Amino acid sequence: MTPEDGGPVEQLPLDDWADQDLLTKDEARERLLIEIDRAKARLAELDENSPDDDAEITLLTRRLNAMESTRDEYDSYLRGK
Amino acid sequence: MPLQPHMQLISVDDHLIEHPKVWSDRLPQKYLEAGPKIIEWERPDNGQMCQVWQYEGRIYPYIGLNAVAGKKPEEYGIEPVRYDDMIPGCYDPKARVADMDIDGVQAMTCFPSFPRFAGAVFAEGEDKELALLCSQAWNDFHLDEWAATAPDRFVPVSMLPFWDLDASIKELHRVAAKGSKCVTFPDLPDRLGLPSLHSDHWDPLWSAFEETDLVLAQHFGSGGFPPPIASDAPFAVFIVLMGTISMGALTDWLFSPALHKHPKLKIGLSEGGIGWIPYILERCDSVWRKHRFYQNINQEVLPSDLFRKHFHGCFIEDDFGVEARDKIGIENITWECDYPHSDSYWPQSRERAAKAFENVPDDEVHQMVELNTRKLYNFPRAS
Repeated sequence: MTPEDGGPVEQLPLDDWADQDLLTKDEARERLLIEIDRAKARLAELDENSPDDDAEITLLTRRLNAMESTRDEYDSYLRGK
Repeated sequence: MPLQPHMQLISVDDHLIEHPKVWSDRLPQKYLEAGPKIIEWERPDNGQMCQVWQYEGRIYPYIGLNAVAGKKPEEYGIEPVRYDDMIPGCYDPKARVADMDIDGVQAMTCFPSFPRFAGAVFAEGEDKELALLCSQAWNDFHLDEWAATAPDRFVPVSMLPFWDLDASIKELHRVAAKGSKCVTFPDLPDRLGLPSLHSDHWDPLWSAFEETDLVLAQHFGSGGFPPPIASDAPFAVFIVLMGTISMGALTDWLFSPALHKHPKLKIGLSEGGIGWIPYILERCDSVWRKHRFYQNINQEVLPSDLFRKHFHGCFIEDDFGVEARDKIGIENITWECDYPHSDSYWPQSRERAAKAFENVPDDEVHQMVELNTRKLYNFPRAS
């Protein structure tokens, strides 16, 4: 059972009223890593099954580059923290 | 796939975090000390240094989170947030556009953070001249700096010095002339000690909204009214019930004389969700039918008809609302992504929207994600 399906999650050692409403660099980076993996998988699938679909490959590559660039910024910040 | 590539996602509810110089760049010299500024502040409970806003000497111990508004500082459970900890898209419009590109979102409608969703912090100001200037400075920041960075990517938002009716009307016309498309105004204004929607106090302002054709946006909680919950209830209860504030605000409007006197008012229920709308409309109509003969309320128009004429709701994730879209009215539904709050699905907003709409006809999807907002907010595609 996954956390999304109601499976067990790691409890954070925070007060019950801790407000986690703002997307921080840590959380944004985690989300980006997941999305980068998905974009790479989709690109590999396109390369194999639809190598002539230049429009989607170009769009996806551009998005992947943007996500990797943002991830690198967050990595750099978090390394220096 | 009902969400087609040519359909542009326009979100009607997002947030920006004011950068430290929003007010110091714009207030007159004599108000720089008392006006809002960022200072380093030691938390009294744990001695930790954090960045906070100071306004007229008062400390506002948050820079990016306002869900805690109304709580005493010692009750804050938040970890201190510094600008460096935030993703730059919170406070830098160029970084925001880059994040929107990653997210597949064409345009956003960004509400204030430090002043609260409709500027209620300035209503607390002791010096009302300063409060007015602070409210105008936020508008100038949003219109001249934030939205002007990418006019086709940001729906321009403004706030009003709502504690002063004449100044509000003047400011409404000023921001309309500067290109604002939407003005945030407190839901349940009586909770801020102001006249309620049932008085005629606001009529000149509603007339000004009609003249300028601006959307009156009521973000839940902008009136500072927390949902009534047990003092020891977990925060989850508070989060779940936030949308019910919009339910209360809508019901207040539907039984007030305002909409009957101001047939062109356009009201957005921001961040309130939509699944509850069919229920409350059915209930309003039922009460109207059974009780109007002894109530001092309009005797001719069904509340649900008023809703369809004047209101639009929005949602991030609301499968029940999407299923009930015909009962709400397709033209009364808009989409939101709530960036940079963690409720947003960034960087998967477009994909999540596609999934939410997978069983909806293409033309209805296009209306809800783009066309309704372009029409209501007078925000056409850039040519």
